Amino acid sequence: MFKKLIEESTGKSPWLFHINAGSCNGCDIELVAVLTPRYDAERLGFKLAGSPRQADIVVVTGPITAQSLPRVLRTIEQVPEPRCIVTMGSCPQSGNVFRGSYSICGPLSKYVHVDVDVAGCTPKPEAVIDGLALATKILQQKRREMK
Amino acid sequence: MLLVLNALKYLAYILIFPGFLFSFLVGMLLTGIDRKIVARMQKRVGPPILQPFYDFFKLLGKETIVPDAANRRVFLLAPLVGLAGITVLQLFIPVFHFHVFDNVADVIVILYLLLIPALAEILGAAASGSPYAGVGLSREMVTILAVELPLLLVLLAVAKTVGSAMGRGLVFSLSTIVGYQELHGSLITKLSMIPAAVAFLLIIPGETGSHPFDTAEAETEICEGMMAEYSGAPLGVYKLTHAMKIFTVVSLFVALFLGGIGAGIQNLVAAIGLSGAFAGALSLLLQILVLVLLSIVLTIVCISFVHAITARLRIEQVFKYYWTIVTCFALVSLVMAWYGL
Amino acid sequence: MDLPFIKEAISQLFSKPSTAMYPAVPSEAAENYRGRIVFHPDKCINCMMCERVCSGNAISHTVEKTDEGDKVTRTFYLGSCTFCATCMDFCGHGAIEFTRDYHMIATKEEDLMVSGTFIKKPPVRKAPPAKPAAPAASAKEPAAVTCETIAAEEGKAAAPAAMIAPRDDGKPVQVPARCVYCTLCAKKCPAGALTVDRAAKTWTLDEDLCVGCGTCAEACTKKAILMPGDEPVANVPAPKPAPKAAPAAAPAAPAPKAEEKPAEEPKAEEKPVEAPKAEEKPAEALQPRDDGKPVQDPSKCVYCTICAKKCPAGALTVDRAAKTWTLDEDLCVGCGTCAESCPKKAILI
Repeated sequence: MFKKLIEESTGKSPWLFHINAGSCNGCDIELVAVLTPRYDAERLGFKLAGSPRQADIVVVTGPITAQSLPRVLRTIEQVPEPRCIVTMGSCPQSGNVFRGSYSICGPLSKYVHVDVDVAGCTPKPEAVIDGLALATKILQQKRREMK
Repeated sequence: MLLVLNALKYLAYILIFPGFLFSFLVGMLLTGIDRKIVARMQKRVGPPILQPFYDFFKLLGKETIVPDAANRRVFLLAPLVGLAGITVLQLFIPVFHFHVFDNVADVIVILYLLLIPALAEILGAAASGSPYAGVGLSREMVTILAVELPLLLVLLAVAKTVGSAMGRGLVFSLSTIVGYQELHGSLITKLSMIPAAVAFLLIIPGETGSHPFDTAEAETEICEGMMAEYSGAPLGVYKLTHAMKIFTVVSLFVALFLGGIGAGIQNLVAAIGLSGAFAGALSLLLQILVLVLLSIVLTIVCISFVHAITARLRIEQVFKYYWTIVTCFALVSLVMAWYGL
Repeated sequence: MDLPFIKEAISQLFSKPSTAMYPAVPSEAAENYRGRIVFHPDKCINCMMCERVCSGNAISHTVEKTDEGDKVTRTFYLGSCTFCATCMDFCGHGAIEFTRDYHMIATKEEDLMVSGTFIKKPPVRKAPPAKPAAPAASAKEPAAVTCETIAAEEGKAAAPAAMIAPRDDGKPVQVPARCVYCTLCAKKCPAGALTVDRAAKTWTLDEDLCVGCGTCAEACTKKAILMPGDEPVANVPAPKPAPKAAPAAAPAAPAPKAEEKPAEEPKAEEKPVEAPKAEEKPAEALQPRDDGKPVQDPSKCVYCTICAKKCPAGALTVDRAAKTWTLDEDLCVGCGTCAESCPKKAILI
């Protein structure tokens, strides 16, 4: 029963950690918009965590520049299991218009397993909420498979 | 036999009421209400009131990472020390008429015990080896220092008022203070105590590390400060300690300044015409209910409202604020009490 | 401490929150929102224009040879798309459409792929039964049709003012009398099917390469290229808004000349015909030249150099500092691009 309680709670309290890997700031603004009174993701339990150690969902924006790549990977490593990685916008999925640049190491899926892609340039806040909700479901699934 | 019964009784006190379980539930409820009210004041819908419970149980199910640089034993034990400290503190604060400890309960002890959760956090943060935690713990120390002076002055003013009324100098025993209020009405009705009560209300957000004074755990600035390296269950325990501390500090205010309400409830129960064990139980239940309701009101006024209308202060502003404005209120009250106004 | 929000906080506590309850209450994207792409393979002619203009390299295609023709699969990867809609703007056939569906969530890359397959028939070698003269003529020259051949056939087959009709197979037809050989069409052709030689005054279409996208016709400032759906036109210079002195004389004179000797410009013949026109116009106003070349209006010109940059022949020199506008008469082909590009309408053509 206790396990079930934890599982239920995992689905209701996903904390986000946002990594900007060279983003143009469009997706960053839109992610913040999700937390503003207009969309208020906190009503679904989402909260922006200050430290990766406390996060459940890592949201990556930007095309993964060469400078940011080791930091992104290190930050993702610091997130305790169960964790979920969400790419927001086209950049971390493919490099978008930056593709082929000498300073771009993306896509992110080359280095870590990405759970959810939210496409769009930038995605609408509603799409972000959808993506995070899907990530929460995956998180719950991962929690179920733990232990 | 009596020893066993006594031991069981105290175990129940510690684990259920008014110790761990009771303050756990009420503290979490207060935190949830706080978050909801802040959200509503910001024109948001806000999380469900049970959100802190979800957060807590989720954290229990997360992996606990101990950093390589950390001192493993201290890092993991510190949250438990803090939780134990706040649970013990809860036993010393009377719920109106209800006391666990009669004569050993002393305001000075409470002052010490209030420090334990903060000190445990500082210990854990120091053991985690993170530079963010280092910045956070230095700020937490300054905050403790800032809050402690006006708090001490408020307690002195209360002790002097009750003491001079009873002709005994200074009275530090909480049960005596509450008992005095039941006979002579709540202390907040006394003119000399109003500045002290205001000072205590202003201390509540600082003592609980709530919004304008949460410099020590500024999540956007120093990655949650002292809790930067904590994850999983220990972090959940810290969150729980925070929630319980809110309830403890708020109920301390009720005991110090609104203790007279307990007598009113007893008179009410007596007026209905009940007596015996049933009346005692009903009276206790009513007192708990009133305490919880008062706590909710105080949380909304002192923590949520202040949270919604202020931005985070810098650490030297916190210090300046407590040592000037709040200390002045407490001093005014102390001087008035000394001259018996 | 300054606390300006006390009133606001209390009033909000008792008023309705402004939150949109999104997952519970569905929300529709705004008008003209550019979301998920819909591809209509039946409309696509495989001109590759979309792939060339895509800044995110989001569009790709695979070709599979079958008996019926090439089986082309065009794929749009939404995970690389910037939703700028440039592909939609460039698609002359409306095969790309942006919907208002913003829900593009995927756990696998394949979920973000939008693709469509169609069969592209091999180039038509045999023209359909000849309606007008021109398509029939082109059918005799299977690989390349030059203006000479069309013109020569036409000259024999039809009256002096030969009518040129669009072809049925979706490919462009040149109207030699209108063409000034500016090479704009060749530059714009996404398939590289056009070769225009300005010196030799030839316009050559490679039928195998041409996909019939119509970009050349759109690019032509002289309306000298006909696409299916256009009205058949006489092989004469394009009608001008200015009244012509002798409308009947003009087509008769230049057309056969141009057909027989394409090296000679029709404008040489036009000059004497249109000469009286200049006298009818008010003397004060700046007048366009008769030879189809541009004239600058110094009172309107701001010397922005846009015309010089756009000129396909490089015939214009504009010095912003010295405020000069120089036309190299030898280079100018009179295509009119400069007049079209001028933001101040300071060039008359």
